Amino acid sequence: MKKIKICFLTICMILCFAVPVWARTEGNVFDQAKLFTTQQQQDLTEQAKALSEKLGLDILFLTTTDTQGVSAKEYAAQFFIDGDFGFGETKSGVVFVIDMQEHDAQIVTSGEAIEIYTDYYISEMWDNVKPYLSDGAYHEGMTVFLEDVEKYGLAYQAYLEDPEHTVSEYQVAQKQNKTLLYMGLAVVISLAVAGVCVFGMKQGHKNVKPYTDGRAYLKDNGMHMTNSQDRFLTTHTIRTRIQKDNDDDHSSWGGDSSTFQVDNRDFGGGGGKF
Amino acid sequence: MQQTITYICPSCGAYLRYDGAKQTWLCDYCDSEYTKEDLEQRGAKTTENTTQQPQNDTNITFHENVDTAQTQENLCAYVCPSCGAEIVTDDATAATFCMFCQNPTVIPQKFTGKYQPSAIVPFATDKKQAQQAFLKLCKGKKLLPPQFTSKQRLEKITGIYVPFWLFDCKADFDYHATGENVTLWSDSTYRYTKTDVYHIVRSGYMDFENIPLDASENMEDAMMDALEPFDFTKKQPFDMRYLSGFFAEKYQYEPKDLFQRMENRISHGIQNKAAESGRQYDHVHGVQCRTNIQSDKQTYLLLPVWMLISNFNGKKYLFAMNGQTGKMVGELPCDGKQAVKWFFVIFLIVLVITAGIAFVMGGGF
Repeated sequence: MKKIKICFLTICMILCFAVPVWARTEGNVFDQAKLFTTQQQQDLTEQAKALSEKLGLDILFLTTTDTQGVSAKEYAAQFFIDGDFGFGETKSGVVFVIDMQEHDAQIVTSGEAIEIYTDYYISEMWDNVKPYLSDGAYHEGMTVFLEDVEKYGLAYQAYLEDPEHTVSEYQVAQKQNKTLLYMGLAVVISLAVAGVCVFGMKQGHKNVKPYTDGRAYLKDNGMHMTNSQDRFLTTHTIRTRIQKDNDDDHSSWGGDSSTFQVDNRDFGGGGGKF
Repeated sequence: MQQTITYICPSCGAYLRYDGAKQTWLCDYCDSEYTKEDLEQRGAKTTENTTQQPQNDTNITFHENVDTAQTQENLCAYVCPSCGAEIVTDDATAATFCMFCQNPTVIPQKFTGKYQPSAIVPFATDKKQAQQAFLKLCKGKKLLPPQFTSKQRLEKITGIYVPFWLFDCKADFDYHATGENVTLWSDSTYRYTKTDVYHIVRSGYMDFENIPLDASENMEDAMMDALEPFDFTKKQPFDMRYLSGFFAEKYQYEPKDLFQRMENRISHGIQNKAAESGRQYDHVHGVQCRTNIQSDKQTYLLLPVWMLISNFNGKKYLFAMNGQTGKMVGELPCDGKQAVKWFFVIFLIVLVITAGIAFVMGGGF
């Protein structure tokens, strides 16, 4: 009887203090916060599995009401490590974690997915999903998320096939931003040029300026110098390091990816409150 | 006793006026033309009219809204030798015109005693040249109101002999400053900036001559300063015949009244001249220049100036032309509507160009 009690207490302790480790058998949805119906879980799992095979990365959904005192993204990263999720050598995968306690949602990427879903694409995906989460439409939100995962995943594959001739959405956006910036500059420059020209025209209406500061009336040989000295006082030399122009490391596919570490493994992603 | 003089044509007896462009005296009635030597040889006559100050013998009760004490003090009345009309001028005016018969009249007593100028620089330009210079000044000014250069306005250009004092002076100076020479070089890793700092000392004195300062209350100092230079080698001993056909004023400021202004005019020049002497520096700062200016010679002379005062939209615009060199200075009015129009025209042109460049550089949308 005593042995049974000890075993029971040990199991309780493990359940209370350990981060839950979920088996792959539960599919791709780990709904601790009970946000999805069984049908919705099945639907998301089917979609995620099909997409995982297509893109070669693991796609998981994780909901919780308790992140064990860490942030939602760290909780999801730990969950990813503990469950040994991820495809391939790099353990490529994406976790969409929803923390209902903090109303925080994060997209956490691992392995090659960090390269695919850069900060720019994560921001775009988050902007698309956030309105659904705010309305409590979690299943619809996750469906939109999967659409974006597919869209950017396929685009990345196309980019890898022919990087020279493929223009990524990021490049298009960068180009648009650059053009808009230059257009804004063009307006400012035009206003400044017009202002300076009209000011110059107005100044040209007045030519009442003194002819001389007096030097014109100095007699020929009228300058008599009695003391002319240039006394050396000091010298000083300033040394400044020449800044090297580093090549832009930004990927032409999608720019930078911000990363964080859990158990010495890098994870990327982003998200926010909803 | 007030006396006026009009110079008479030896041929027909009409009045003579001095023509700056031709440097001769002209009779507008018989088209005769005389040089100074001709007039002296032919004994050019003058008509003089001497009259007493008008006295109020009649009892008239009259109220007007002016300060009578000041008016009587500043105004003088003369009788035109040609038509007998009364010519009223202020105290400074020494040559004028009869407002009834346009007879050029010189008031010789304004230039006697201490007011006798030592020299005069005669007009070397005529009214037509002054009008052309004004039109040249206006040419190409996009913001100028279109009606500003009307013929009627140009007719108001008037020749005036303005009283000037020429100052000769000696200026002691003691100049101190900090000079810096900068040397730049670099290697593969660093860029070096070496600065050598010096204390600059320059002392001595400078001799100036013929610094002109107008001695008229009516003339704007800045405008008279802008009219320079005058070629003083062309000056002539004062001769009242040069005044015929022009306005003229006697001086209202004594040299002592102008000394401070003269000092202000040349102090920058002294500092700059001291700075440009000796070794040159990349940067100069902390300049201190003490000067002591003494003037022991001032010459009173009359200089020729064409003037145009023009009212436009309630504001007075003043233009002046150097009567010797033809240099024209002044401030032209700006039309607000023209300014707005040109602003938008330039803005649109530049915007089309820069937006095209921006589109190409940005890679398009």
